[in-house]
Amino acid sequence: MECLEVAKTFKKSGRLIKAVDNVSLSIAPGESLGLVGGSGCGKSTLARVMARLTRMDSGRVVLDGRDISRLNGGELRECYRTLQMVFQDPFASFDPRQTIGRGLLEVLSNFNVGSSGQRKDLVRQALESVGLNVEFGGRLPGDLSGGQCQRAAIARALLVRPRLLICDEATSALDAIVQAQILNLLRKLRDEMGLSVLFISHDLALVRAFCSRIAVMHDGRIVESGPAEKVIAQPEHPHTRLLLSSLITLGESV
Amino acid sequence: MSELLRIDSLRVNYGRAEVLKGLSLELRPGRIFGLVGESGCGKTTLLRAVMGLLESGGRISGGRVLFEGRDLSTVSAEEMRRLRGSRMSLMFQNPGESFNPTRTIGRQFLETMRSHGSFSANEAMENISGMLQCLDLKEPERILKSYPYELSGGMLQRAALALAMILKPDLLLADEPTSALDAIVQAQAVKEMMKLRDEFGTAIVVISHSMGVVARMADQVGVMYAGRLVEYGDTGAVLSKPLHPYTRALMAAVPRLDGRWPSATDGAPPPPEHNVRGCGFAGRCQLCAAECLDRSQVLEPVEAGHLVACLRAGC
Repeated sequence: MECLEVAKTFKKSGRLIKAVDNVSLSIAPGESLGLVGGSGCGKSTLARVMARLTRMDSGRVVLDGRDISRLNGGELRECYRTLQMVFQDPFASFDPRQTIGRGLLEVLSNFNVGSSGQRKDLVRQALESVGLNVEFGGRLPGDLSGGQCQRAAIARALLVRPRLLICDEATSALDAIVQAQILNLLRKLRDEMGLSVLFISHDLALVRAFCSRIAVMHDGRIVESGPAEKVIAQPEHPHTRLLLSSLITLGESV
Repeated sequence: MSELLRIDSLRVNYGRAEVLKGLSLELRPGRIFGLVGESGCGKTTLLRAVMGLLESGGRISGGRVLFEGRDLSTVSAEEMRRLRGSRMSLMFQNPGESFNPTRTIGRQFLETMRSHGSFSANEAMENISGMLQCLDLKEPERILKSYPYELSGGMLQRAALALAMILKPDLLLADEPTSALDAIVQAQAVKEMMKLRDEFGTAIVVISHSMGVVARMADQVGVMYAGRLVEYGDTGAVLSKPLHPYTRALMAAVPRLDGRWPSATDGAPPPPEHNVRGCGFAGRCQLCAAECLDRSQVLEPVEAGHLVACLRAGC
Protein backbone atom coordinates (compact mmCIF):
# COMPACT_ATOMS: atom_id res chain seq x y z
CA MET A 1 0.00 0.00 0.00
CA GLU A 2 1.04 3.50 -0.74
CA CYS A 3 -0.28 6.84 0.45
CA LEU A 4 0.62 9.87 -1.58
CA GLU A 5 0.29 13.35 -0.09
CA VAL A 6 -2.83 12.49 1.83
CA ALA A 7 -4.48 15.40 3.64
CA LYS A 8 -7.47 15.65 5.93
CA THR A 9 -8.70 18.76 7.73
CA PHE A 10 -11.40 18.80 10.38
CA LYS A 11 -13.43 21.80 11.42
CA LYS A 12 -13.75 22.03 15.18
CA SER A 13 -15.43 24.90 17.04
CA GLY A 14 -14.93 27.16 14.05
CA ARG A 15 -11.23 26.36 13.68
CA LEU A 16 -9.57 24.23 11.04
CA ILE A 17 -7.42 21.42 12.35
CA LYS A 18 -5.03 19.72 9.95
CA ALA A 19 -5.28 16.16 11.24
CA VAL A 20 -3.28 14.71 8.36
CA ASP A 21 -1.02 17.14 6.55
CA ASN A 22 0.25 15.84 3.19
CA VAL A 23 1.47 12.49 4.41
CA SER A 24 3.12 9.97 2.12
CA LEU A 25 4.11 6.50 3.23
CA SER A 26 4.31 2.98 1.89
CA ILE A 27 4.16 -0.56 3.22
CA ALA A 28 5.81 -3.41 1.33
CA PRO A 29 4.36 -6.94 1.13
CA GLY A 30 5.14 -8.82 4.36
CA GLU A 31 6.43 -5.68 6.03
CA SER A 32 5.24 -4.37 9.39
CA LEU A 33 5.34 -0.64 9.73
CA GLY A 34 4.90 0.95 13.14
CA LEU A 35 3.12 4.28 13.34
CA VAL A 36 3.70 6.10 16.63
CA GLY A 37 2.95 9.52 18.05
CA GLY A 38 1.14 11.33 20.83
CA SER A 39 -2.64 11.39 21.14
CA GLY A 40 -4.20 13.68 18.61
CA CYS A 41 -1.20 13.53 16.26
CA GLY A 42 -3.42 12.22 13.47
CA LYS A 43 -2.32 8.58 13.37
CA SER A 44 -5.82 7.14 13.74
CA THR A 45 -7.22 9.58 11.19
CA LEU A 46 -4.50 8.58 8.74
CA ALA A 47 -5.37 4.91 9.28
CA ARG A 48 -9.06 5.58 8.73
CA VAL A 49 -8.31 7.53 5.58
CA MET A 50 -6.13 4.67 4.30
CA ALA A 51 -8.96 2.23 4.99
CA ARG A 52 -11.40 4.65 3.30
CA LEU A 53 -13.46 4.92 6.49
CA THR A 54 -12.88 8.68 6.53
CA ARG A 55 -13.03 10.82 3.41
CA MET A 56 -9.73 12.49 2.52
CA ASP A 57 -9.50 16.06 1.24
CA SER A 58 -6.72 15.39 -1.20
CA GLY A 59 -4.08 12.83 -2.05
CA ARG A 60 -4.18 9.26 -3.23
CA VAL A 61 -4.25 5.82 -1.62
CA VAL A 62 -2.93 3.01 -3.77
CA LEU A 63 -3.60 -0.58 -2.77
CA ASP A 64 -1.87 -3.35 -4.67
CA GLY A 65 -1.23 -1.03 -7.62
CA ARG A 66 -4.79 0.23 -7.77
CA ASP A 67 -5.87 3.74 -6.82
CA ILE A 68 -8.68 3.25 -4.30
CA SER A 69 -9.01 6.91 -3.28
CA ARG A 70 -12.23 7.56 -5.17
CA LEU A 71 -13.84 4.13 -5.23
CA ASN A 72 -17.40 3.77 -4.00
CA GLY A 73 -20.07 1.15 -3.35
CA GLY A 74 -19.33 -2.34 -4.64
CA GLU A 75 -15.87 -1.47 -5.90
CA LEU A 76 -14.88 -0.12 -2.50
CA ARG A 77 -16.30 -3.21 -0.76
CA GLU A 78 -14.07 -5.36 -2.95
CA CYS A 79 -11.04 -3.52 -1.49
CA TYR A 80 -11.83 -4.99 1.89
CA ARG A 81 -10.87 -8.40 0.55
CA THR A 82 -7.33 -7.02 0.50
CA LEU A 83 -7.42 -4.64 3.44
CA GLN A 84 -8.85 -5.21 6.91
CA MET A 85 -8.68 -3.28 10.14
CA VAL A 86 -8.61 -4.15 13.86
CA PHE A 87 -9.53 -1.46 16.37
CA GLN A 88 -8.68 -0.84 20.01
CA ASP A 89 -12.10 -1.77 21.39
CA PRO A 90 -12.94 -5.24 20.09
CA PHE A 91 -16.45 -5.19 21.55
CA ALA A 92 -17.32 -2.26 19.29
CA SER A 93 -16.55 -4.47 16.26
CA PHE A 94 -19.28 -6.98 17.07
CA ASP A 95 -23.05 -6.79 17.34
CA PRO A 96 -23.65 -7.43 21.07
CA ARG A 97 -26.78 -9.51 20.35
CA GLN A 98 -25.24 -11.74 17.71
CA THR A 99 -22.93 -14.67 18.47
CA ILE A 100 -19.30 -14.44 17.41
CA GLY A 101 -19.86 -17.27 14.92
CA ARG A 102 -22.81 -15.50 13.27
CA GLY A 103 -20.73 -12.32 13.03
CA LEU A 104 -17.97 -14.21 11.25
CA LEU A 105 -20.36 -16.06 8.92
CA GLU A 106 -21.88 -12.74 7.90
CA VAL A 107 -18.49 -11.55 6.63
CA LEU A 108 -18.21 -14.63 4.42
CA SER A 109 -21.70 -14.27 3.01
CA ASN A 110 -21.14 -10.56 2.40
CA PHE A 111 -18.08 -11.41 0.35
CA ASN A 112 -19.73 -14.43 -1.21
CA VAL A 113 -17.03 -16.81 -0.07
CA GLY A 114 -17.72 -20.54 -0.29
CA SER A 115 -20.91 -22.57 0.11
CA SER A 116 -22.77 -22.49 3.42
CA GLY A 117 -21.10 -25.74 4.49
CA GLN A 118 -17.64 -24.47 3.62
CA ARG A 119 -18.32 -21.21 5.47
CA LYS A 120 -18.78 -23.03 8.76
CA ASP A 121 -15.46 -24.76 8.24
CA LEU A 122 -13.75 -21.48 7.41
CA VAL A 123 -15.11 -19.86 10.56
CA ARG A 124 -13.93 -22.78 12.67
CA GLN A 125 -10.46 -22.62 11.09
CA ALA A 126 -10.29 -18.86 11.59
CA LEU A 127 -11.18 -19.20 15.28
CA GLU A 128 -8.64 -21.96 15.74
CA SER A 129 -5.93 -19.95 13.99
CA VAL A 130 -6.25 -17.26 16.68
CA GLY A 131 -6.24 -19.82 19.47
CA LEU A 132 -9.98 -19.84 20.17
CA ASN A 133 -11.82 -23.10 20.61
CA VAL A 134 -14.73 -23.60 18.18
CA GLU A 135 -17.22 -23.31 21.06
CA PHE A 136 -16.44 -19.58 21.21
CA GLY A 137 -18.40 -19.26 17.98
CA GLY A 138 -21.58 -19.90 19.97
CA ARG A 139 -20.92 -17.19 22.52
CA LEU A 140 -22.02 -13.57 22.61
CA PRO A 141 -19.31 -10.87 22.64
CA GLY A 142 -20.28 -9.91 26.20
CA ASP A 143 -19.35 -13.41 27.42
CA LEU A 144 -15.77 -13.02 26.21
CA SER A 145 -12.82 -11.37 27.94
CA GLY A 146 -11.12 -8.45 26.21
CA GLY A 147 -8.30 -10.67 24.96
CA GLN A 148 -10.66 -13.33 23.64
CA CYS A 149 -12.81 -10.74 21.89
CA GLN A 150 -9.74 -9.11 20.33
CA ARG A 151 -8.69 -12.52 18.99
CA ALA A 152 -12.16 -12.95 17.54
CA ALA A 153 -11.85 -9.51 15.89
CA ILE A 154 -8.52 -10.58 14.37
CA ALA A 155 -10.06 -13.88 13.23
CA ARG A 156 -12.81 -11.95 11.50
CA ALA A 157 -10.38 -9.53 9.89
CA LEU A 158 -8.36 -12.45 8.54
CA LEU A 159 -11.34 -14.49 7.26
CA VAL A 160 -11.14 -12.96 3.81
CA ARG A 161 -7.37 -13.51 3.70
CA PRO A 162 -6.42 -9.85 3.37
CA ARG A 163 -2.91 -8.84 2.35
CA LEU A 164 -2.83 -5.80 4.63
CA LEU A 165 -4.00 -5.55 8.22
CA ILE A 166 -4.27 -2.15 9.92
CA CYS A 167 -4.10 -2.52 13.71
CA ASP A 168 -5.06 0.67 15.55
CA GLU A 169 -4.02 0.26 19.21
CA ALA A 170 -5.21 -3.33 18.86
CA THR A 171 -3.46 -4.53 22.01
CA SER A 172 -3.37 -1.44 24.20
CA ALA A 173 -6.41 -2.44 26.27
CA LEU A 174 -4.94 -5.88 27.00
CA ASP A 175 -2.64 -6.97 29.79
CA ALA A 176 0.95 -7.91 29.10
CA ILE A 177 0.57 -11.68 28.70
CA VAL A 178 -2.48 -11.45 26.42
CA GLN A 179 -0.75 -8.71 24.44
CA ALA A 180 2.27 -10.97 23.96
CA GLN A 181 -0.04 -13.83 22.88
CA ILE A 182 -1.67 -11.60 20.22
CA LEU A 183 1.74 -10.37 19.10
CA ASN A 184 2.90 -13.97 18.62
CA LEU A 185 -0.21 -14.64 16.58
CA LEU A 186 0.36 -11.61 14.34
CA ARG A 187 3.99 -12.56 13.83
CA LYS A 188 3.00 -16.08 12.82
CA LEU A 189 0.45 -14.77 10.31
CA ARG A 190 2.94 -12.29 8.94
CA ASP A 191 5.61 -14.95 8.50
CA GLU A 192 3.27 -17.65 7.16
CA MET A 193 0.88 -15.63 4.98
CA GLY A 194 3.14 -12.73 4.06
CA LEU A 195 0.65 -10.39 5.69
CA SER A 196 1.61 -6.71 5.73
CA VAL A 197 0.75 -4.88 8.93
CA LEU A 198 0.35 -1.21 9.74
CA PHE A 199 0.76 -1.26 13.50
CA ILE A 200 -0.42 1.87 15.29
CA SER A 201 0.44 2.17 18.95
CA HIS A 202 1.57 4.62 21.56
CA ASP A 203 3.76 1.92 23.12
CA LEU A 204 7.20 2.46 21.60
CA ALA A 205 8.68 -0.69 23.11
CA LEU A 206 5.90 -2.78 21.60
CA VAL A 207 6.36 -1.22 18.17
CA ARG A 208 10.12 -1.72 18.45
CA ALA A 209 9.59 -5.44 19.09
CA PHE A 210 7.08 -6.06 16.29
CA CYS A 211 7.98 -3.69 13.46
CA SER A 212 10.94 -3.49 11.12
CA ARG A 213 10.30 0.16 10.32
CA ILE A 214 8.86 2.98 12.42
CA ALA A 215 7.24 6.25 11.35
CA VAL A 216 6.76 8.97 13.95
CA MET A 217 3.83 11.32 13.50
CA HIS A 218 3.42 14.75 15.05
CA ASP A 219 0.83 17.45 14.29
CA GLY A 220 -0.40 15.60 11.23
CA ARG A 221 3.00 15.01 9.65
CA ILE A 222 5.50 12.20 9.56
CA VAL A 223 8.49 13.79 11.26
CA GLU A 224 10.82 10.82 11.25
CA SER A 225 10.91 7.34 9.80
CA GLY A 226 13.48 4.61 9.48
CA PRO A 227 14.54 1.16 10.64
CA ALA A 228 12.99 0.43 14.06
CA GLU A 229 16.24 -0.05 15.94
CA LYS A 230 17.67 3.16 14.54
CA VAL A 231 14.64 5.36 15.34
CA ILE A 232 14.64 4.08 18.94
CA ALA A 233 18.40 4.09 19.55
CA GLN A 234 19.33 7.23 17.59
CA PRO A 235 16.23 9.40 17.30
CA GLU A 236 16.80 12.47 15.16
CA HIS A 237 13.65 14.56 15.44
CA PRO A 238 13.08 16.45 18.72
CA HIS A 239 9.58 15.03 18.99
CA THR A 240 10.82 11.45 18.78
CA ARG A 241 13.34 12.31 21.49
CA LEU A 242 10.59 13.81 23.64
CA LEU A 243 8.43 10.69 23.21
CA LEU A 244 11.34 8.46 24.16
CA SER A 245 12.47 10.53 27.12
CA SER A 246 8.91 10.66 28.52
CA LEU A 247 8.61 6.92 28.38
CA ILE A 248 8.24 5.30 31.78
CA THR A 249 10.11 2.04 31.41
CA LEU A 250 11.12 -0.68 33.77
CA GLY A 251 14.74 0.37 33.48
CA GLU A 252 17.83 -1.76 33.08
CA SER A 253 17.88 -3.37 36.50
CA VAL A 254 14.51 -5.10 36.17
CA MET B 1 1.90 5.22 62.15
CA SER B 2 -1.21 3.08 61.91
CA GLU B 3 -2.86 1.91 58.72
CA LEU B 4 -5.19 4.10 56.73
CA LEU B 5 -6.66 1.12 54.92
CA ARG B 6 -6.70 -2.46 56.04
CA ILE B 7 -8.25 -5.29 54.10
CA ASP B 8 -8.72 -8.54 56.01
CA SER B 9 -9.35 -11.84 54.17
CA LEU B 10 -11.80 -10.14 51.83
CA ARG B 11 -14.11 -12.34 49.79
CA VAL B 12 -16.44 -11.03 47.11
CA ASN B 13 -19.03 -13.02 45.20
CA TYR B 14 -20.96 -12.28 42.04
CA GLY B 15 -23.67 -14.88 42.33
CA ARG B 16 -21.85 -18.18 42.68
CA ALA B 17 -18.61 -16.90 41.21
CA GLU B 18 -16.10 -16.02 43.91
CA VAL B 19 -14.13 -13.15 42.41
CA LEU B 20 -11.99 -12.36 45.46
CA LYS B 21 -10.91 -15.42 47.41
CA GLY B 22 -9.65 -14.04 50.71
CA LEU B 23 -7.35 -11.11 50.10
CA SER B 24 -5.51 -9.08 52.73
CA LEU B 25 -3.42 -5.95 52.47
CA GLU B 26 -2.67 -2.81 54.41
CA LEU B 27 -1.77 0.69 53.39
CA ARG B 28 -0.33 3.50 55.50
CA PRO B 29 -0.96 7.20 54.85
CA GLY B 30 1.19 8.60 52.06
CA ARG B 31 2.13 5.20 50.65
CA ILE B 32 1.52 4.04 47.11
CA PHE B 33 0.48 0.47 46.41
CA GLY B 34 0.59 -0.91 42.87
CA LEU B 35 -1.74 -3.70 41.88
CA VAL B 36 -0.97 -5.79 38.79
CA GLY B 37 -2.38 -8.94 37.24
CA GLU B 38 -4.29 -10.29 34.26
CA SER B 39 -7.66 -8.73 33.39
CA GLY B 40 -10.45 -10.49 35.23
CA CYS B 41 -8.25 -11.38 38.22
CA GLY B 42 -10.29 -9.18 40.57
CA LYS B 43 -8.28 -5.95 40.75
CA THR B 44 -11.20 -3.69 39.87
CA THR B 45 -13.55 -5.65 42.13
CA LEU B 46 -11.18 -5.03 45.04
CA LEU B 47 -11.28 -1.25 44.53
CA ARG B 48 -15.06 -1.27 44.12
CA ALA B 49 -15.47 -3.32 47.30
CA VAL B 50 -13.39 -0.79 49.26
CA MET B 51 -15.60 2.06 48.01
CA GLY B 52 -18.81 0.13 48.69
CA LEU B 53 -19.60 0.40 44.98
CA LEU B 54 -19.79 -3.23 43.87
CA GLU B 55 -21.80 -3.70 40.71
CA SER B 56 -25.27 -5.19 41.06
CA GLY B 57 -25.15 -8.84 42.06
CA GLY B 58 -21.84 -8.38 43.86
CA ARG B 59 -21.55 -8.75 47.63
CA ILE B 60 -18.85 -9.06 50.26
CA SER B 61 -19.14 -12.68 51.39
CA GLY B 62 -16.35 -12.66 53.93
CA GLY B 63 -13.67 -10.54 55.56
CA ARG B 64 -13.58 -6.84 56.29
CA VAL B 65 -12.48 -3.48 54.93
CA LEU B 66 -11.22 -1.07 57.60
CA PHE B 67 -10.69 2.63 56.88
CA GLU B 68 -8.82 4.36 59.72
CA GLY B 69 -9.63 1.36 61.86
CA ARG B 70 -13.39 1.45 61.24
CA ASP B 71 -15.12 -1.50 59.66
CA LEU B 72 -16.82 0.03 56.61
CA SER B 73 -19.65 -2.52 56.75
CA THR B 74 -20.84 -0.80 59.96
CA VAL B 75 -20.83 2.69 58.44
CA SER B 76 -24.21 4.19 57.47
CA ALA B 77 -25.04 4.83 53.81
CA GLU B 78 -25.12 8.59 54.45
CA GLU B 79 -21.68 8.53 56.05
CA MET B 80 -20.27 6.37 53.25
CA ARG B 81 -21.53 9.00 50.81
CA ARG B 82 -19.63 11.68 52.77
CA LEU B 83 -16.46 9.59 52.90
CA ARG B 84 -16.54 8.97 49.15
CA GLY B 85 -15.18 11.93 47.29
CA SER B 86 -13.74 13.87 50.21
CA ARG B 87 -11.81 11.19 52.14
CA MET B 88 -11.51 8.41 49.58
CA SER B 89 -12.09 8.58 45.87
CA LEU B 90 -12.14 6.14 43.00
CA MET B 91 -11.11 6.87 39.48
CA PHE B 92 -12.92 4.38 37.29
CA GLN B 93 -11.21 2.40 34.57
CA ASN B 94 -13.76 3.59 32.07
CA PRO B 95 -13.65 7.38 32.47
CA GLY B 96 -17.17 7.62 31.06
CA GLU B 97 -18.37 6.05 34.33
CA SER B 98 -17.06 8.98 36.36
CA PHE B 99 -19.31 11.43 34.56
CA ASN B 100 -23.00 11.86 33.92
CA PRO B 101 -23.36 12.04 30.12
CA THR B 102 -26.12 14.66 30.25
CA ARG B 103 -24.28 17.36 32.20
CA THR B 104 -21.23 19.45 31.40
CA ILE B 105 -17.90 18.50 32.93
CA GLY B 106 -17.73 21.84 34.76
CA ARG B 107 -21.11 21.38 36.40
CA GLN B 108 -20.06 17.97 37.69
CA PHE B 109 -16.84 19.31 39.17
CA LEU B 110 -18.80 22.04 40.95
CA GLU B 111 -21.34 19.54 42.27
CA THR B 112 -18.62 17.31 43.66
CA MET B 113 -16.82 20.17 45.32
CA ARG B 114 -19.91 21.81 46.79
CA SER B 115 -21.38 18.61 48.15
CA HIS B 116 -18.23 18.05 50.19
CA GLY B 117 -17.20 21.54 51.26
CA SER B 118 -18.01 25.20 51.05
CA PHE B 119 -16.33 26.73 48.05
CA SER B 120 -17.30 29.94 46.30
CA ALA B 121 -17.85 29.46 42.60
CA ASN B 122 -14.70 31.45 41.79
CA GLU B 123 -12.57 29.56 44.25
CA ALA B 124 -13.81 26.26 42.91
CA MET B 125 -13.24 27.23 39.29
CA GLU B 126 -9.70 28.35 40.09
CA ASN B 127 -8.93 25.02 41.76
CA ILE B 128 -10.41 23.05 38.90
CA SER B 129 -8.68 25.01 36.14
CA GLY B 130 -5.36 24.67 37.93
CA MET B 131 -5.75 20.91 38.27
CA LEU B 132 -6.76 20.48 34.62
CA GLN B 133 -3.78 22.49 33.45
CA CYS B 134 -1.44 20.39 35.57
CA LEU B 135 -2.71 17.41 33.61
CA ASP B 136 -1.92 19.14 30.33
CA LEU B 137 -5.51 20.00 29.49
CA LYS B 138 -4.60 23.31 27.96
CA GLU B 139 -7.97 24.98 27.60
CA PRO B 140 -9.76 24.35 30.90
CA GLU B 141 -12.66 26.70 30.07
CA ARG B 142 -13.46 24.76 26.93
CA ILE B 143 -13.17 21.41 28.75
CA LEU B 144 -15.47 22.56 31.54
CA LYS B 145 -18.12 23.70 29.06
CA SER B 146 -17.99 20.37 27.23
CA TYR B 147 -20.18 17.34 27.67
CA PRO B 148 -18.33 14.07 28.26
CA TYR B 149 -18.99 12.78 24.71
CA GLU B 150 -17.30 15.87 23.26
CA LEU B 151 -13.90 14.93 24.73
CA SER B 152 -11.44 12.35 23.42
CA GLY B 153 -10.76 9.25 25.53
CA GLY B 154 -7.45 10.63 26.71
CA MET B 155 -8.95 13.99 27.68
CA LEU B 156 -11.84 12.36 29.51
CA GLN B 157 -9.42 10.09 31.38
CA ARG B 158 -7.46 13.12 32.58
CA ALA B 159 -10.67 14.94 33.56
CA ALA B 160 -11.74 11.86 35.57
CA LEU B 161 -8.34 11.77 37.28
CA ALA B 162 -8.65 15.48 38.10
CA LEU B 163 -12.14 14.88 39.52
CA ALA B 164 -10.83 12.07 41.74
CA MET B 165 -7.97 14.25 43.00
CA ILE B 166 -9.72 17.63 43.29
CA LEU B 167 -10.71 17.26 46.97
CA LYS B 168 -7.27 15.99 48.02
CA PRO B 169 -8.61 12.72 49.45
CA ASP B 170 -6.68 10.69 52.02
CA LEU B 171 -7.05 7.63 49.83
CA LEU B 172 -7.07 7.64 46.04
CA LEU B 173 -8.00 4.43 44.22
CA ALA B 174 -6.93 4.76 40.59
CA ASP B 175 -8.00 2.04 38.15
CA GLU B 176 -5.81 2.21 35.01
CA PRO B 177 -5.46 6.01 35.30
CA THR B 178 -3.14 6.37 32.30
CA SER B 179 -4.14 3.59 29.87
CA ALA B 180 -5.52 5.98 27.21
CA LEU B 181 -2.64 8.46 27.44
CA ASP B 182 0.43 8.75 25.27
CA ALA B 183 3.90 8.63 26.79
CA ILE B 184 4.22 12.38 27.25
CA VAL B 185 0.88 12.91 28.98
CA GLN B 186 1.23 9.67 30.94
CA ALA B 187 4.44 10.98 32.49
CA GLN B 188 2.60 14.16 33.52
CA ALA B 189 -0.33 12.25 35.04
CA VAL B 190 2.05 10.07 37.05
CA LYS B 191 3.88 13.17 38.26
CA GLU B 192 0.61 14.78 39.39
CA MET B 193 -0.48 11.72 41.36
CA MET B 194 2.88 11.58 43.09
CA LYS B 195 2.72 15.30 43.81
CA LEU B 196 -0.65 14.76 45.50
CA ARG B 197 0.98 12.15 47.69
CA ASP B 198 4.03 14.31 48.45
CA GLU B 199 2.05 17.46 49.25
CA PHE B 200 -1.07 16.12 50.92
CA GLY B 201 -0.01 12.69 52.14
CA THR B 202 -2.61 10.94 49.97
CA ALA B 203 -2.27 7.17 49.99
CA ILE B 204 -2.82 5.66 46.55
CA VAL B 205 -3.76 2.24 45.25
CA VAL B 206 -2.96 2.20 41.54
CA ILE B 207 -3.94 -0.51 39.08
CA SER B 208 -1.98 -0.48 35.87
CA HIS B 209 -0.96 -2.88 33.17
CA SER B 210 2.06 -0.68 32.56
CA MET B 211 4.76 -2.23 34.71
CA GLY B 212 6.80 0.94 34.14
CA VAL B 213 4.12 3.09 35.76
CA VAL B 214 3.91 0.72 38.72
CA ALA B 215 7.70 0.63 39.07
CA ARG B 216 7.86 4.42 39.02
CA MET B 217 4.99 5.10 41.42
CA ALA B 218 4.56 2.29 43.89
CA ASP B 219 6.32 1.72 47.21
CA GLN B 220 4.85 -1.76 47.34
CA VAL B 221 3.40 -4.05 44.72
CA GLY B 222 0.78 -6.78 44.90
CA VAL B 223 0.50 -9.31 42.10
CA MET B 224 -2.98 -10.79 41.76
CA TYR B 225 -3.96 -13.99 40.04
CA ALA B 226 -7.45 -15.53 39.95
CA GLY B 227 -8.79 -13.60 42.95
CA ARG B 228 -5.76 -13.94 45.20
CA LEU B 229 -2.55 -12.08 45.90
CA VAL B 230 0.25 -14.40 44.83
CA GLU B 231 3.18 -12.08 45.47
CA TYR B 232 3.45 -8.98 47.62
CA GLY B 233 6.30 -6.80 48.72
CA ASP B 234 8.55 -3.80 48.16
CA THR B 235 8.44 -2.73 44.52
CA GLY B 236 12.15 -3.13 43.89
CA ALA B 237 12.22 -6.64 45.31
CA VAL B 238 9.11 -7.91 43.52
CA LEU B 239 9.91 -6.48 40.09
CA SER B 240 13.64 -7.16 40.00
CA LYS B 241 13.57 -10.53 41.79
CA PRO B 242 10.11 -11.95 41.06
CA LEU B 243 9.65 -15.29 42.78
CA HIS B 244 6.19 -16.46 41.75
CA PRO B 245 6.14 -18.15 38.34
CA TYR B 246 3.17 -15.98 37.35
CA THR B 247 5.02 -12.75 38.22
CA ARG B 248 7.95 -14.01 36.19
CA ALA B 249 5.69 -14.76 33.23
CA LEU B 250 4.15 -11.31 33.52
CA MET B 251 7.53 -9.58 33.56
CA ALA B 252 8.76 -11.61 30.59
CA ALA B 253 5.73 -10.49 28.57
CA VAL B 254 6.48 -6.78 28.96
CA PRO B 255 7.94 -5.32 25.74
CA ARG B 256 11.31 -3.61 26.21
CA LEU B 257 12.97 -0.89 24.20
CA ASP B 258 15.93 -3.13 23.38
CA GLY B 259 13.63 -4.93 20.96
CA ARG B 260 13.62 -8.31 22.69
CA TRP B 261 10.55 -10.33 21.81
CA PRO B 262 7.99 -10.40 24.65
CA SER B 263 7.43 -13.98 25.71
CA ALA B 264 3.85 -15.19 26.02
CA THR B 265 2.77 -17.84 28.49
CA ASP B 266 0.00 -19.98 27.00
CA GLY B 267 -3.47 -20.32 28.39
CA ALA B 268 -5.73 -18.14 30.47
CA PRO B 269 -6.65 -17.93 34.16
CA PRO B 270 -9.45 -20.21 35.40
CA PRO B 271 -12.84 -18.47 35.25
CA PRO B 272 -14.02 -17.29 38.70
CA GLU B 273 -16.97 -19.72 38.73
CA HIS B 274 -14.53 -22.65 38.69
CA ASN B 275 -13.60 -23.62 42.19
CA VAL B 276 -9.95 -24.46 41.81
CA ARG B 277 -8.68 -26.60 44.65
CA GLY B 278 -4.96 -26.12 44.29
CA CYS B 279 -2.90 -23.20 43.03
CA GLY B 280 -4.82 -21.16 40.42
CA PHE B 281 -1.77 -20.90 38.17
CA ALA B 282 -0.93 -24.64 38.28
CA GLY B 283 -2.45 -25.36 34.86
CA ARG B 284 -0.10 -22.90 33.15
CA CYS B 285 2.95 -23.36 35.35
CA GLN B 286 6.03 -25.18 34.13
CA LEU B 287 7.15 -25.82 37.69
CA CYS B 288 3.84 -27.36 38.73
CA ALA B 289 4.23 -30.39 41.02
CA ALA B 290 1.60 -32.83 42.28
CA GLU B 291 1.30 -31.07 45.62
CA CYS B 292 0.49 -27.76 43.84
CA LEU B 293 -2.83 -29.25 42.72
CA ASP B 294 -3.86 -30.29 46.24
CA ARG B 295 -4.20 -27.14 48.24
CA SER B 296 -4.20 -23.43 47.58
CA GLN B 297 -1.08 -21.61 48.64
CA VAL B 298 -0.92 -18.85 51.22
CA LEU B 299 1.37 -15.84 51.17
CA GLU B 300 4.47 -16.52 53.20
CA PRO B 301 7.47 -14.28 53.76
CA VAL B 302 10.63 -15.34 51.91
CA GLU B 303 12.63 -12.37 53.08
CA ALA B 304 11.87 -9.10 54.85
CA GLY B 305 9.17 -7.25 52.92
CA HIS B 306 8.66 -9.93 50.26
CA LEU B 307 5.89 -12.51 50.44
CA VAL B 308 4.97 -15.17 47.92
CA ALA B 309 2.29 -17.84 47.67
CA CYS B 310 4.04 -20.69 45.90
CA LEU B 311 5.50 -24.01 46.94
CA ARG B 312 8.13 -23.75 44.27
CA ALA B 313 8.89 -20.06 44.73
CA GLY B 314 12.17 -19.09 43.17
CA CYS B 315 12.83 -22.55 41.68
